[in-house]
Amino acid sequence: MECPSGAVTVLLTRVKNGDQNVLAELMPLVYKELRRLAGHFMREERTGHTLQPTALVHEAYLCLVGQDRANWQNRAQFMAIAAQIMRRILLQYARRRAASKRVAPYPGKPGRFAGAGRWEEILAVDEALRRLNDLAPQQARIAEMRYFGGLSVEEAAEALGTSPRTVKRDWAVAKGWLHAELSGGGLE
Amino acid sequence: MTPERWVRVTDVFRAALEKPVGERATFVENACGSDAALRRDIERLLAGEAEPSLPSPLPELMSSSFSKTPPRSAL
Repeated sequence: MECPSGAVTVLLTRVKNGDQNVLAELMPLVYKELRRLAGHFMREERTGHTLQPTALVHEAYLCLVGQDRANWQNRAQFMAIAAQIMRRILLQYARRRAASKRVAPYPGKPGRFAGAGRWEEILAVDEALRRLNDLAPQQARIAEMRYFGGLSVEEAAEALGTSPRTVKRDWAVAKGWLHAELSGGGLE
Repeated sequence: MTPERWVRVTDVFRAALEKPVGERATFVENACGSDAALRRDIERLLAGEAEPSLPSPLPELMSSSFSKTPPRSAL
């Protein structure tokens, strides 16, 4: 498969140095590449080959950064950005489906979540993470990386410039929060 | 829930997680004292943390029509 090699490495370094403006430049590139690879993925799927979605993100990373410049640090940075993008895309689809089915976008009452479909679950996770973001932004970001991006604890730590131990502790809180919110109980 | 309250909740929750499972209930009861709402929150978080992780939604992304018709306003 042909890879459009680009100057993404420089952009990733700027993200790591705290330059948030660069996200606006980076997102369309990553989005386009994910989409291109997804097309490839679906054709492969039809011919009987399966590519795991996390492998797809890794593939997108290698294409955009270039094999020779690939390293563990900017790979984690890239995956964190891909997680944000995938979250946005999934939400668009989930909302569209919810609208066409005329179901409530978020089953916020006790017990209503049980048995709801995967798309409803994605909407509910997004809602719960928005609320968590108001309380503790880093916990919400870690959950976004883990759930939407499939990042490991170590990868999330690298992307945030913190220790795996800190990520583990924050993830435990975020996971507890997500389950409490999704089960309809919520916290007081 | 306020950010200040959340710090308190997470502090007690994390301390409880460090205890052996059998000692958690007593620990939480002592740590929360007369604050029954705090105790309920910690118990919910502990129950949630013990659940299996939510399955990744990436297969949904791949099985959607992402590659053909991207949502226009996604970015």
